[in-house]
Amino acid sequence: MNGNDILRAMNGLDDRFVISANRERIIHSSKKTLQKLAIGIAAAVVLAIPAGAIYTQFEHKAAVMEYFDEKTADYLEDKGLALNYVSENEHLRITVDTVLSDGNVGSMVLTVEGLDSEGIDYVGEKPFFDMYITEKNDISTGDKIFLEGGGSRDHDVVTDTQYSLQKDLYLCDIDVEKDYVMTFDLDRRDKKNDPVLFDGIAFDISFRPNVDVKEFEDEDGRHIFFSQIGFYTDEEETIRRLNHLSNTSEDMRLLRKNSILSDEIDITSATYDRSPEKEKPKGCVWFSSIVEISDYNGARLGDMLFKEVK
Amino acid sequence: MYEFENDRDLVELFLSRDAAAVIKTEKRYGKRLNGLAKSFLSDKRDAEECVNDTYLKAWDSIPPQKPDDLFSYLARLCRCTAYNIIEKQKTAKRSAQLVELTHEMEECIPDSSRSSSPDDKFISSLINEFLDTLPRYKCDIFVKRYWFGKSVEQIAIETGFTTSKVKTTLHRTREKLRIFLEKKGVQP
Repeated sequence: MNGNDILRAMNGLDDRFVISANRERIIHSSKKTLQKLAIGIAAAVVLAIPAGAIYTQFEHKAAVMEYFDEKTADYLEDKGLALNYVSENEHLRITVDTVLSDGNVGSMVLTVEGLDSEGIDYVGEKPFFDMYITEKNDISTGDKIFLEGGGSRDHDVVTDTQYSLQKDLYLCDIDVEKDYVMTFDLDRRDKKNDPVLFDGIAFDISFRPNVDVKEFEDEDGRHIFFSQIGFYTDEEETIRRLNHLSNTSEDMRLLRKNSILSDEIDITSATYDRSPEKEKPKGCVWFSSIVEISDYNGARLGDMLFKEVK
Repeated sequence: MYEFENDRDLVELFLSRDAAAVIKTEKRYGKRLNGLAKSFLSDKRDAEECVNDTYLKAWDSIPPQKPDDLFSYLARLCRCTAYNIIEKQKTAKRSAQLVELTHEMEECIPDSSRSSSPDDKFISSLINEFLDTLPRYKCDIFVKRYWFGKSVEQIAIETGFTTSKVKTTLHRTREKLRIFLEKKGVQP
């Protein structure tokens, strides 16, 4: 046997190793990086940052397809939005599969994998957990912002050691032009597990808009921002009206450009929040899949007819 | 709604025996496959022949094959084809890169004598088993180097590690592989 025999034998390597090595991602395994972050966490970590807008394939495509659909997963891969950011400690490996942002609403798919017995036990519960962001340029003194938003966890993308979840993001509350570091903690109601599970797991993250967005206006001057992933308004009266509509009826339709045809808006979740304690009202809606918003120039939401602002 | 082509669309073209499959695959993956072929073959024409054979093999094998990851499938065909060309020619047409890789791989052989060649499939299965024991980033670095034939510098760029970190990781991984093969009773 010689060196060439081993190299030749590597023709029989499992696909999973080849696919993994072929992924376009940049991995930094650096304790120094984390020390610079000065966020009070000490552990070896693999911190991943995006490789840029190049064609990449989802490592957990089944999850992305489950939370959106197959076409959306393919579309995101083609647009370079299959991020596959990875960060891990000895207990858990978290992959940020994708982050979508229109500047107002956003969506994220993550996959959590247990690496040791403690991590696998935790993953066995398929829990939700808390996520925080801190401004990257002000990491030592900056506020740790709780990343608010609902989400879902589908049991079709669960194994004994791994699960994926999707999180809706209220990006209207944060400055999306800034760079952030995202960290994790146990769900605040979780008194059972050890917070050390998330020590050292951190991501450089950006919420800069990466999908198309259009501003729509109706005859009474109401505004809504429609994007490929959802729509948003901060107008109290518009939110009140939206709140009276059914998400699953014919009440919400997008109007096709140069056509009398319209398409029903397929929504997975919506928040119409006019709570007095909030700084501003919040009307956020998330679509179930990517919508090619450039094909539309209007929307009918109940008795409100919106047209694209040129 | 979407005007784009992805791997699945390309595989569908192969499955429907549409000749555009090869043209579009060449357009999409030609450069990368050429780079892979050149990692193993020094002669430009050999590399071109290797890539063309790869397209032909893909055309002949899809269907019945229906790869989920088309590039990995093509890359495997390309790598095997490159080895076939090397074996067939039995001349000094291996690329300098391949000579270097071979030399590095010598370190993984449990004994310095090289009298026989254990079955490729057996060694393959052991290497797969070995890679399963590695942290993912080490596994990725190892595969980038010895499967894709990438240079240390290129791996450093792709991973964000320094070249010395990549070199050290490769060195330690080779040493681990040697011990692993020894424990598994691989005889030279």
